[in-house]
Amino acid sequence: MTAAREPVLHIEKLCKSFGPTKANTDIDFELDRGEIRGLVGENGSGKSTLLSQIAGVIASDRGTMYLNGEIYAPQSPLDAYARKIGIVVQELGVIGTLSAGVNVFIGRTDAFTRAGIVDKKKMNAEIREIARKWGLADIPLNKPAKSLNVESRKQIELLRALAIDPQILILDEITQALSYDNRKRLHDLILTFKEMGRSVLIISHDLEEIAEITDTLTVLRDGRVVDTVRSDKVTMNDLKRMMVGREIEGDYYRTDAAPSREDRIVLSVRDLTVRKEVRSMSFDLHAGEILGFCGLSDSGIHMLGKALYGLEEDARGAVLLPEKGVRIKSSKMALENNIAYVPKERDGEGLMINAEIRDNFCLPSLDGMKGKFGLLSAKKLNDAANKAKDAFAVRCRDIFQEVGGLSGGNKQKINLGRWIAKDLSVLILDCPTRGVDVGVKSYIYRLMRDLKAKGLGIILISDELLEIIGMADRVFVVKYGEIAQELVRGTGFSEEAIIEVML
Amino acid sequence: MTRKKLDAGIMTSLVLLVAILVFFTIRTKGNMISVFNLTTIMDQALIVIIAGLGSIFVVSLGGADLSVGTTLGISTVVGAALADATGNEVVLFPVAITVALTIGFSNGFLVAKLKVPSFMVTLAHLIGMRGVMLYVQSVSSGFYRAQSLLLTLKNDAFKIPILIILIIVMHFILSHTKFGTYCKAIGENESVALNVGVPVAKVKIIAFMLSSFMASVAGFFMMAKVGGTNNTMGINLEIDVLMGIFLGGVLVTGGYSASVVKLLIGSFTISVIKNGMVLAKWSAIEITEVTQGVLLILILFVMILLKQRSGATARPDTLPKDPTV
Repeated sequence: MTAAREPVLHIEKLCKSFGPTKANTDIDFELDRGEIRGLVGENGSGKSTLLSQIAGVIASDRGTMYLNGEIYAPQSPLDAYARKIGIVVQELGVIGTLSAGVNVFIGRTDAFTRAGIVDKKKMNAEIREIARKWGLADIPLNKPAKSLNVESRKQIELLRALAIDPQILILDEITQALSYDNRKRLHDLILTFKEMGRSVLIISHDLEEIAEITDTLTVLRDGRVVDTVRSDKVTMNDLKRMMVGREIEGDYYRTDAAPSREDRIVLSVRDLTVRKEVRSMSFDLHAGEILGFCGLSDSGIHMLGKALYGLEEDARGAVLLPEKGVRIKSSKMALENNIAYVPKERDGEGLMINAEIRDNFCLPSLDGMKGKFGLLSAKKLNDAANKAKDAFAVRCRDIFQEVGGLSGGNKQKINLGRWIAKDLSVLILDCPTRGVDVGVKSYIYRLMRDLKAKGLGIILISDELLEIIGMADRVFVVKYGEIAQELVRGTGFSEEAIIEVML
Repeated sequence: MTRKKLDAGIMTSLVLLVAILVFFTIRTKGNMISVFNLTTIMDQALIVIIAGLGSIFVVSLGGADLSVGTTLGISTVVGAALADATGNEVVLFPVAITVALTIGFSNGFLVAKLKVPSFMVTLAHLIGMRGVMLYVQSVSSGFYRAQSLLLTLKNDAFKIPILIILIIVMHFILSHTKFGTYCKAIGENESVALNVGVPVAKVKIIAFMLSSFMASVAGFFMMAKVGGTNNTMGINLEIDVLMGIFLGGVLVTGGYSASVVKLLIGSFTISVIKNGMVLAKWSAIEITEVTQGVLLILILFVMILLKQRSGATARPDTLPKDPTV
């Protein structure tokens, strides 16, 4: 290690255990100036733990970190901030009731305080300046953070990290929350960082993306570094093999090149309009068909998912089930008519984090759990939850464990699994593989193929174009709440074609 | 593993109850656990338990019904006034229940449809309805004397079986029906419940109506006990009811932590403290209330500690919930 090429961050033999669980063992790691490094690995491989150690969120058991050649032993995130390490964590860290602007400078509003009063104008001007400098989209700064969508909340956190003018920027699973256009902005931002001779450390489950935007990739497995490789030299299959430790069997996406579906229509949408976010959409979903929806952040595709499930009171137009002659007006009706909805935000909108796995599994299917006198039977609840737990290979202690302690992939298995037990006709998926590793991803895709074969109609809303292209029979590209173009599998079904319409 | 381990909240509150019972038994040289005294404790806990059996549903939603005391008062006073005017005692029951259900519906409707936090809505009812009650009391013939039918509720042969039936029924509704589960799911996370297809507004309205209904039932027992109505009926009942629920180990956020067993343990704990204080001749009300307050903080502290030890709250990934229940 010469002085000229001294790494900005150097880590030696870092270890961390949680009780008997070894999260990290003897991690050796070097990050150069101007290097963009990706961390990849399955859920639970120790990526987030490593970042938390660097960020001062978790104290290390053993090992040493050097920052610019000096010993770096952060006791809290404040130490990390002071040494100009900016972090965006995986789980959303904004305070919902405070304004977006205050959230950016939270804990550091002193600079804008005169006589105990925060000068919000000055603060917001500063934030806009930061956003402009780094080429980020504007977000409404005066609204309470909870009224903003996941994407804007992620941007708040990104701005918070950028506000300290970091020499190392650490991004844990941020791109999955962003839509296509904001991802592009983030990629540009990362390149700017590189040009300035600063470093970026990034975690993502989207392997294609991370290989594209990084210089090097460090693969972690079971808390150990497997290897560090050049991003432009490594193949996806090699990466996956290193991550999992074996070949991933079976296909990831669909391999058939032609669209397929049954004749019967399971869901018919006519002139669906939600305020100005979804405008007069009409389409039919056939049995055994996967219908993909993609678009930019303001396209309204996520609102469409909610409206299809009867969750938007402002929705006009009709969501019809032609086979039953039913018109969906509420989520209760949707539930009763065997429609399922898996929302984008797993922790806030999909799962009861502090409740048991069992209760999360059984919530949509209580009608089938009745025993004597029409009362819910504990045995039936337990049996159903155990069955689903085994069928989905959820890694947990038992069905009475709280969901909050599980990894992202296992949470998503519960989020999806609770619907599959039912006799569904329509499944609405909003970003179903967000924040899950390759193993679970391939599992979810296999599940979708099985359900399609069984004759379910699937609505797939996603920010990942490759996923849409890999799975859908037809794709609707949505722009400003309207269907801009319909593409059919096998005919001009490419990333370029979709992006061209999207932008 | 198919059996569920015992809830930490129940264990903590049970240990607390036993500890207090043992303490007062030693302190009063055994008088505490005499048959006569245990009946007295039971009698004191009765009204809190009955009102709590309804209130627990609102708590499970993550809300609080502060209007149970007033609802108890106004429903029985109006019922009694009409029974008095018609000269027919039976009139009391349907009238009182109708008044209670109306208040409950109003609570539930405002909370569910206008998204006003429940403590605001029920606080408004607590204050406003108390005024209405005093007015009714002043224009009617005044003190109503409980008559034969009502007085049968004083008889243990009726009182105890009715109480047991109510406890069993409410336990099954909370723990073994779709409605009860939906209440708890809303308390865990309202967005999740809505996204799954729970008719959230309807469930909330029913929960508030159930709370008010049980308040009026508690009112009948109170009338039997005191021999009629008066204008202080039900004052501060909401405090005892909520204390009972929370001392029993139910979380303020409601959800799956809510259970009738916890309500029973908590309500008895309060009665034991109040009764023990009197027996130990520390009868000043200040001491009783300070003790209750200290114990509530203690039990919350222990429960948080237990939860942290089990690692259940180690991940900070629960989003802030909208406080609209």
